[in-house]
Amino acid sequence: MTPHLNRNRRLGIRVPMVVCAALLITGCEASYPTTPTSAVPLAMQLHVPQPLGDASLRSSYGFTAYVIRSDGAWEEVTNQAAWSSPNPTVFRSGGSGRFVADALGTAGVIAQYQGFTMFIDIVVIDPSRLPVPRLTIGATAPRIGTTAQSRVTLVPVTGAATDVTGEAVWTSSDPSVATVEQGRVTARSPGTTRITVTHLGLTAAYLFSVRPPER
Amino acid sequence: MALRLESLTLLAVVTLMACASPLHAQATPQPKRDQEIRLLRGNLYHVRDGQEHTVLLVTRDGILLVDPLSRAAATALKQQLETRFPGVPVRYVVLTHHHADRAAGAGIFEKAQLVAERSYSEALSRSRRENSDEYRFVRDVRDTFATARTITLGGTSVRLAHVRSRHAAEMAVVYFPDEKLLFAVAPPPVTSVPFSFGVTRPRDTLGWIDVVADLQPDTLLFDDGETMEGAAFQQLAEYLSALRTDVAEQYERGRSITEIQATPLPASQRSAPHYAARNAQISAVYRSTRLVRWELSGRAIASYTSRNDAMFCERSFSVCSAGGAVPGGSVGAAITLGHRFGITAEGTLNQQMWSSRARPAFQEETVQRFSRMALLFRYGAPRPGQFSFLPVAGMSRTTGDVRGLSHITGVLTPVGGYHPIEERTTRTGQTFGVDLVRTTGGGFSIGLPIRLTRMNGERPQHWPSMFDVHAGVGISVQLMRRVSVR
Repeated sequence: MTPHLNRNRRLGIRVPMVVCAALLITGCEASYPTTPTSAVPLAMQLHVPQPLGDASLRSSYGFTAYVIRSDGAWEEVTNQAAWSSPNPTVFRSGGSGRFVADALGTAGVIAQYQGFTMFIDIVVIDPSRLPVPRLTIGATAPRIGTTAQSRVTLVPVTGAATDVTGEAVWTSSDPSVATVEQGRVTARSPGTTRITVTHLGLTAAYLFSVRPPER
Repeated sequence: MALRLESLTLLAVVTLMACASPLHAQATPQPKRDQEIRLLRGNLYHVRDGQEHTVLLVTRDGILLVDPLSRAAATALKQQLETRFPGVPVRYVVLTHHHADRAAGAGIFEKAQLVAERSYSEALSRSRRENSDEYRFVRDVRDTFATARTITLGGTSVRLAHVRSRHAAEMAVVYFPDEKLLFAVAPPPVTSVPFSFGVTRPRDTLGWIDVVADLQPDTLLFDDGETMEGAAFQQLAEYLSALRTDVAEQYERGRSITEIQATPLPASQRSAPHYAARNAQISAVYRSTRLVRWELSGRAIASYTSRNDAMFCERSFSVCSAGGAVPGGSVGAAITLGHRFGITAEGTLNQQMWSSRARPAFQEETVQRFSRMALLFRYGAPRPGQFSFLPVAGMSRTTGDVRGLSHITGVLTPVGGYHPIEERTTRTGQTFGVDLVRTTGGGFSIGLPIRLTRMNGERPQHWPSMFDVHAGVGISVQLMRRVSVR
């Protein structure tokens, strides 16, 4: 099975049959020779609960930290991790993965847990002062193994916005986490990737996390 | 002169009183009662009152009277005793049972201590409810005994013993050791030659004979005046004892009445005068024989659970190993009732078995130890010196204790990771099988049990199957064997 389970110990049944015979009326317990050893984290991931593009000024955001353990299970360590920002005046940590965008600029999210450090860069913008033309993305979050359609819209200087999902070029920074084709995102494995879309020299991007399954 | 006057006056008064009395009130001569007392032997006397007979023992300290009979008989007897043994009081009245014809006269002997078997008063109360007139003079008894009692009076002992009797549940016989005479009322037909149980219950008759034989009387005297020589009685007792033993042994072997009747008794018994009615005697004893036997058994078994049962190794598992054979042991206690039926209480414990199953991102390994209590009804009984094939069936209760680990990868805790498995579940079920038994003598037998068990209800998650079979070999030892006659 795994190194935790030693089949050779089968012969070493701890409860002798003689004792069992005496306890026949109540029935004897079975004896399993192995107890699981405590698992240790092998790797860490930083997740965004919802697809996240640039952060908006005076908005708050939540982040999640996971570790993959030596027993193969995922464990959420959001509350145990230490959270910080390289530029607290722009993006301020409120603890337990909560951040507030206080000022325009570039910043990031740092999570540290048992020797592991993860970082995501964040740009804080003022949505009311966005330039045009621009691309806007409407994204959804698929579960692992499923697919969801994201859409991108070109907002021109004048005129109506146009859906350019099909014409734009889509890329994923980590195809092992998620792949994307014409806006259709397929979640492959737990992790965080940046989905970038380019059209007519304009670029937009969002962070996208695939959450570990709960069962 | 004065004295003469007084005498004349007294004579006149007496004459006047005699003249004043009505004619019908004059004392009429009582007809002479047909009652006689005669010495039997030693200090023991035989009392005959008409057709009724009883006995009394006279000692220097008083008289012990058995069954004073009716009030009229007792009144006459009391007068006779006062005449024949003046100044010797009746100290004890022993009542063989409560029937009015034997016990109503007890009230005449007001100062005597009444003695009877302990169920006397209960039987008397019952009879009073049914016939209050007949039993209104029968006295209650406070001095009672359970099985036996010895009364010593004037240096002489008298032994009372309770005997089985359909005539009265509290029936007692009275034995006079010095005279070696036993007095009994309403005995079984022990005087008939050849002996026949007649309408009596063999259990009552044999019980009566056993009690009386232990007393070893030289003479038996019955309430109808008939006597029986002790030697003839002992011969009958020995004959019936041998017959009962023989019938019991052959009954236990499963033989029929006709088979037993075809088996001759030992030569020593064949000369008995009762041998001529042996077939009827065997028939009566056989029909009343009950065998009860307790046995304790211990067996080594191998228990098999179907391998890789489809319920346990369902399709989603890419790897699965479960079930198989494991060693175990069982102990049981069995009671055999008669030669056809028995009940066995059986406890079985198996060595634990291992199971494992896996699919992507899931692995599980468990050990299961099963114990079982079963109450089984058995058809047939082990036959001494023979192979016996005994089907059994009944209910069982199986407890499965499961320990192990499951390992789930790729998902969040708490679902993901290693998880200890500890599960204890009980299921009832039906157990069928057969015992192949060979008795070896000395109360031991070798048994080969085969059992098939099907458990009811939903299969517990970690039980490899709901069906198992076990077989083994072991020994049984007989703890108790009692053959009784009803």
